[in-house]
Amino acid sequence: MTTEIGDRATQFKAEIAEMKLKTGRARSENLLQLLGVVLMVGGIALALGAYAASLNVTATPGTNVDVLDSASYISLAVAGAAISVTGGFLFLRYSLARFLRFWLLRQAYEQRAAIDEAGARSKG
Amino acid sequence: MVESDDESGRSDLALELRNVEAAYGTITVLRGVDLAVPYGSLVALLGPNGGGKSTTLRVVSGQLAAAAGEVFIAGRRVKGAAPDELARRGVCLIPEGKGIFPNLSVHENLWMASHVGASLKEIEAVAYARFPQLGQRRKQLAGTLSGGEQQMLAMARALATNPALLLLDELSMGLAPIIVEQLYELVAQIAKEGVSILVVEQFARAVLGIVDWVGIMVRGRVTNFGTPAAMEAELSTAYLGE
Repeated sequence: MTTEIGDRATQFKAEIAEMKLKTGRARSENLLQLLGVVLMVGGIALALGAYAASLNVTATPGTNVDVLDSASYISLAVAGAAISVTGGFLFLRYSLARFLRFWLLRQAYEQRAAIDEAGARSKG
Repeated sequence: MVESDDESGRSDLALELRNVEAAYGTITVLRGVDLAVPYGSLVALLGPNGGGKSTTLRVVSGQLAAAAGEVFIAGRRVKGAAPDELARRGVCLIPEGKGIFPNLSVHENLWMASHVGASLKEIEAVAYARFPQLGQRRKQLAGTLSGGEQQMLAMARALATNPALLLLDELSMGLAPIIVEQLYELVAQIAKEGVSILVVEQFARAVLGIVDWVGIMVRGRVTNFGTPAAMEAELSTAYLGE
């Protein structure tokens, strides 16, 4: 057996060496799914906290402070709701991704099996 | 069997598996596979049905992730490599069942191989030069070809991708012995041209005359590895059990 490698093998080594490997792809999906859960819960907590804080706003005659405070808490609550929706979207997207990936593979496999069967019937 | 380096694969090997484990869900199929394919060599992985041979090819081609152990291609650890990325760089698998599109013609099947960059004209020229029968049937639906012709089409498509590491899964499945002999003569020729080849076969006699190395795989492990002459005596034990 020769110990020298040919041109194609040399080219192969170079191409494999340059290849970018997506290591930890499943890990990043799990992290994003977890982030989604955290944002969902965190957003709700923020909105509820803003509501609770707004209950302590007292009217001070002659100033606009209470209005500003209320406006701030309203903004905070809306932001919390938006964060929660974003988190929900992230969670749904990454939790469904794996399920849909396998569903699509199964569809392709079953379609292929049906075609093979039809081909076998047409030959026989 | 293989002198190992923990950090990278051996530079003289096109493919190296170290203690690879793989499973389908909770069913473990590979239980610590060690295997080496030197550049330009033809290695056969033989053994009884259900031993994990096809699964080994799926792990090498990136279709199935190894649960443990390492896969080195061209000396590089390739954990996480997508199968299409490996295929683009010259790792080519001809699966059991040939993998052709039965509802497309011979011409259209070869057209599907042009994604790697070669033109359809070049692909057809190479394919019909190696397999003149395919040239005569270029408009025929691939599903209506004979088993041998379908295997030739699968090989023509594989060769069009200019493989550096060719993985063949049960080439002889469903074919007449004379066709199997012709196909393996072609495989031997391809190996002489410098392509590293790993062949998985149930029917050992079909390949023993042409390969450089033989691995015997039983119940998810490569139990023996050596020259064809040395392994011939071990084969009956492997297939029939002790």
